Amino acid sequence: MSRDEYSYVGKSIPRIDSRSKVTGEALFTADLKLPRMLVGKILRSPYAHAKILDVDVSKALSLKGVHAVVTGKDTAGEKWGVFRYTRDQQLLCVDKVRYVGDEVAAVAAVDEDTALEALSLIRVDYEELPGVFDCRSAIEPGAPLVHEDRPRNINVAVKIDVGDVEAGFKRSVLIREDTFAAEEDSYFMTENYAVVANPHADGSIEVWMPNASPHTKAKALSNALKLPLSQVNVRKITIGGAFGGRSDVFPAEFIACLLSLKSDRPVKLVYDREENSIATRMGHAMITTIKTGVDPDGAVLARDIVSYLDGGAYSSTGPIATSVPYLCHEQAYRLENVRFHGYRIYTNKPVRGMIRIHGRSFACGIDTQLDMIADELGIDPVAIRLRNARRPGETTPTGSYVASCGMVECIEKTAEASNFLEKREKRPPNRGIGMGINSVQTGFPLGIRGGSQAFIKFHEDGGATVVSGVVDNGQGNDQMLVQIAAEELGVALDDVRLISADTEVTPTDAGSYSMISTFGGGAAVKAAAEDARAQLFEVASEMLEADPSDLVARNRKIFVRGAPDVGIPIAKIVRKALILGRPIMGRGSFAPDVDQRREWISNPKGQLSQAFSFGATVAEVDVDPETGRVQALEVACAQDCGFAVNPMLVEGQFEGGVAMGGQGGMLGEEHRWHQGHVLNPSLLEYKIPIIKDMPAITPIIVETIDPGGPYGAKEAGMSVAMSAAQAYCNAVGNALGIYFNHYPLTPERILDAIEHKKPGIQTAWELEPARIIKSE
Amino acid sequence: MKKQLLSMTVNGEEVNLAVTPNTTLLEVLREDLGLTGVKEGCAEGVCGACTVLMDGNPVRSCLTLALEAGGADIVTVEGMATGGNLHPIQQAFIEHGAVQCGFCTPGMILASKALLDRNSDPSEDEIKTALAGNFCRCTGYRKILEAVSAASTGHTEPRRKE
Amino acid sequence: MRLPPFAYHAPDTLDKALKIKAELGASAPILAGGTDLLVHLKHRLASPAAVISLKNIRTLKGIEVGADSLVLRAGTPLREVAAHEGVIRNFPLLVKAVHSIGAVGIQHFRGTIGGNLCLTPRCLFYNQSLFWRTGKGQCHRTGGKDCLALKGSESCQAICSGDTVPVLAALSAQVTIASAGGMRTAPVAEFFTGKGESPFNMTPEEILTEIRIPLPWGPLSSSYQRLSFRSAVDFPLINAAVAAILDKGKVESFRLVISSAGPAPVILKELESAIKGQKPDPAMLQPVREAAIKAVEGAIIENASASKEYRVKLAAVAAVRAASEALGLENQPS
Ligand SMILES: Cc1cc2nc3c(=O)[nH]c(=O)nc-3n(C[C@H](O)[C@H](O)[C@H](O)COP(=O)(O)OP(=O)(O)OC[C@H]3O[C@@H](n4cnc5c(N)ncnc54)[C@H](O)[C@@H]3O)c2cc1C
Ligand code: FES
Ligand code: FES
Repeated sequence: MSRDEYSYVGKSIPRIDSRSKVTGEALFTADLKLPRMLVGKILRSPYAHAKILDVDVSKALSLKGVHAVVTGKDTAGEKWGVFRYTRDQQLLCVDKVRYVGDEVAAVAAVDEDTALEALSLIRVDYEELPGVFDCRSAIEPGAPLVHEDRPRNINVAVKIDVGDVEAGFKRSVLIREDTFAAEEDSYFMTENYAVVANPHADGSIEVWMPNASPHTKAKALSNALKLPLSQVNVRKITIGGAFGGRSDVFPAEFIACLLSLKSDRPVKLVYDREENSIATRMGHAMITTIKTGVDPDGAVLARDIVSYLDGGAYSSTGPIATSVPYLCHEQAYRLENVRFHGYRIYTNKPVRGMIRIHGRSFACGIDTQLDMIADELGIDPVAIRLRNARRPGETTPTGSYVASCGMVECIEKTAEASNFLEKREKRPPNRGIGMGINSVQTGFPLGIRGGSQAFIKFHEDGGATVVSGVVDNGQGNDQMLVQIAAEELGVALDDVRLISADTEVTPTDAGSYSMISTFGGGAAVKAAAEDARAQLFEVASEMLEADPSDLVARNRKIFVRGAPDVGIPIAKIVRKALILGRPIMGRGSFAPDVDQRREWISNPKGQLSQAFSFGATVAEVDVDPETGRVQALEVACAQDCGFAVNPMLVEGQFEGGVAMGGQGGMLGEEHRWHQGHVLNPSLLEYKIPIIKDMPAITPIIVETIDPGGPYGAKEAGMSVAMSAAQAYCNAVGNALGIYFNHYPLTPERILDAIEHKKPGIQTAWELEPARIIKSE
Repeated sequence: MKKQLLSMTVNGEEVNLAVTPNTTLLEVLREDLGLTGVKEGCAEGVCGACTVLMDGNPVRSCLTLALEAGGADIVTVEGMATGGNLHPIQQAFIEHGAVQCGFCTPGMILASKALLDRNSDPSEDEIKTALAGNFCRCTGYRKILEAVSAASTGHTEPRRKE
Repeated sequence: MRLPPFAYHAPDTLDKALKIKAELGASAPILAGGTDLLVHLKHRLASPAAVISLKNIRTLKGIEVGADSLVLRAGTPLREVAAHEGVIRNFPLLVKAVHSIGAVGIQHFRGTIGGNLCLTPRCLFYNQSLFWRTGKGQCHRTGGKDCLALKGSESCQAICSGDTVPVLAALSAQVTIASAGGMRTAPVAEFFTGKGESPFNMTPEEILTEIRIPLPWGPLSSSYQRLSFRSAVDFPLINAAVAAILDKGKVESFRLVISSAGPAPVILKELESAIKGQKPDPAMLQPVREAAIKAVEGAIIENASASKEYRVKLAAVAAVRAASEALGLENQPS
């Protein structure tokens, strides 16, 4: 069907949740208030690495108003990890603390002041240990170990080797090896993390927290609390952004539950900004060495990559985080011979997770090096990207078939919209223009929760309630589901109610990470609506004396195709169905068509994700050569999102992606350190973009109609965020004639590079390469 | 700590209560008055999520002692709509897709109101200056800018449709 | 984030405020707009017995233009300073400085000019939460005997970060300070001690009441330059102001002040005599650059959100830009 034939999908319709958000009615976790609710607070380690000798909570316990205190003793060292083989984070530290912020004890008290006072009364005896604070020193033989059973602090080692890399290099006319580094970045969603736990007399517990997958949280809590899964009910709540930072399970939700069970009262635990920065997740620092060989036309013949990721104190999504930067790149670019060694390394720093622009040094390294190669060969940046860009119908090196791919179109459209080649030729001094391209997965399997299911029930007045496990972190998933349901059911948007992301009521869903909400959750709702519609058609076909296959549902009516005037109101059919004892109950599900045998470390081959999105961004910037400050002027960004279920929302994702990936991610967002202490945990000192510094943005939606996605939809916004970082990076480089290899490009780094500018085609700084670690 | 009396007008209603001096305006609004549209994003004056209008001026409620608001006229986002009708700024935020997660939205809307009440036809630069202290992590600000321009009197083009 | 407990006084006259001050001294800080003080309290950088609000003291608010000076009362909100016709006409650089402070919603309505001058000097190791500081040990200002940013430093090296500071110093403004015992005045330049732990020449019993800026005696040519990471919200990484009198093509007086380097603004005195009496000439900028670097090199340490080296470079840029704008040399090669 073409876009014009749809009633709702493909249209820019304001979001159903926006009204409650502009009136202040929408409740976020910290806004919840329950009778007898206590305030929870966590005592954290002030040291980066220390042995816990003793924890004395007696004084805190006897403080008036304190209802519960928990320590590692209460958890018996229970550990969390995304995979069975990465369970390394104690929910409350027992023997040792591993980063500044590690959870040591917690209290629940009648109010915040009492809780804070109680924390100050807890005495912890530590024996400080030497720590490791960066990848290189952490892997030195003899370095202090973050986890004693992990030699050389290696948390995860991923190895991928496809084709014949050495042969590819032999055939190459030009080979370059360059090293790229990036510092830690962070989410800084506007809402700080919070959790509310509410225990019930029947032994069940209700929990609210910003999350990217209620079912994953419930499962982890059920395991840790030793409660049946049906008794741990994670509820829906408005969520103030995620960007990857709400995906994992955090000790705090477990602690809040423990406190509430112990005190038999609801407990609310709200993080302050600093806690949100250090004790949820942050992005990895990363060093990547890339060796690339090309033919005379710039086609890549072989590539060999080694990456070190600074993982912080615990595994989190370790194996995934280690692999994804490489995987994005093998999707974006054609490659036959490629080798990748990725190491995630433990340090005594906060835990790192996946972030919207995960792997800056990788993605920007690839694109910067490509520009260097293009310059050496005298090819323009657009041509070399087109030469290497992924095409539909191809298979990635690790074996994923790419059914739909608009990479070429994204490149061409952004180049055209920005007048790229002409601007690159003729530009005033210190102005530059650059392009980046990238690709992300649309969902990758995470065990049984890789799919999604949905139900639809009808009300007697013809309205419908959709029940789906999909969670909305702010990106607009609720709206997407409602548009799809209304489209398929032929009812008005207002007729559709949504119940979602509540583990007691809604079926499982993959979660909103890995960019699968539309592709998977949307598809499940579509299937459920189709099922409900088929049931409506059954009943209607008897009433209309027509074949069900000739019926159409639209404008709250069901009619025979071509005869909309003699239709029957859906409400009437619903009632008829009830009388007939055949109530309309739609059921739908989606399971991604991926290779279930694929595993991140042990078997990194096979279909990774059913679909992939592709994006290109062009940025134009001015650089002040005296201060190194960059002013972004214009950005054009295109993404193949398959099909835009709601173009206005998709544009919003692109624009947000430019802000986070390009403006913030490439120009200033980084954490600075003093040993294990992060110097800028605050919104004042961590530099996320403000409105005043944003450039004009031209979003370009490219649609390839993926055969597997609902209406052909894939995902929106991630490929832009990633390619925006690359585009900004290359634009600044182009302005100054410098190939940058240490990110983000803070004014300080830019000025340093200007002052030490080197002749010829080489990176701004000589960084020590990342090498294969032998003792694997 | 002794409590002190505080009277102020909040969203058009007179409010009298006793607060301890170390209570912020944010705490009173959120906890005592249940106005949870006032958001705490940083608690140290940076993000603007806690913006409220105090005698028509945008201020950070997290950095304002409740007692400092004695006698003042306070407007929170809950006080923007009248009789079930949304304020044109709220309407514009909805129609232009300026709301994603919505955490920054109340502060954005109030900062925008303070601007438009003073300058009903601001330039793009004036909007950017007025909103410079309101952080949004989701939207990239583009659609917020569009929404505020659309809500200003100088805006003549038809509202965004479809 | 919770504030520590304290009592709240909102006297309606300066005298009453001074009386409380005389009694409680340092344990009762002044609360003007509170946009700096409250952050400190939340971080437990101070836990005072009381705060004294200026809210009800009418005589501490307002702006007056007299025959030879413009008077800014300490409690005047920044917005009023920047919108005041007399300020706009006489001191465009002050308007620019006020507009550069943070963002409209943070300070322009609540924040005051007095609070900006008395802004507590900042340091990356000091302006952190209580939790953050727990694992780091104490510094000169938090009860210890060392500086966390510069080990072995005799005194605190925190940064004087107010946007208006270099402007007021360049304009040779005077502060009026009151105590129960009476009033005194001092040049802004001498208001700063250079010690982060006790940054102002003001006793705990005193209150800043007004800032008096002499009206220029000739055609004022001035500039305010501030460099920061983002174009709003952020504190300056460096700022510089020049106030010069340019008459008949000659520089009759010249004052360049750099701030946000160390605990006190730095006045580049030696330039004043060198430039005075000369015709503006691009050749003046090299000495300005050199003097700027020399002046800040000793003052800047590794305690801000950018490195020491970078801030030194910025100081030279800001000084040269301020000088060249004020001297009308902007589009001439230096
Ligand atoms: C996010 C953020 C960004 C900021 N950005 C900037 C910036 O870019 N530039 C900048 O200059 N400032 C900035 N500030 C700091 C501050 O907001 C401003 O300097 C403001 O002008 C302070 O004025 P105030 O009236 O709010 O001060 P207060 O907080 O009320 O007072 C500041 C200090 O001065 C003392 N004090 C105030 N008035 C008197 C008086 N009359 N006599 C004696 N002592 C007095 C107080 O006791 C306190 O110690 C920022 C603050 C925040 C929270
Ligand atoms: S919460 Fe007040 S400014 Fe962020
Ligand atoms: S909409 Fe999420 S922070 Fe603005």
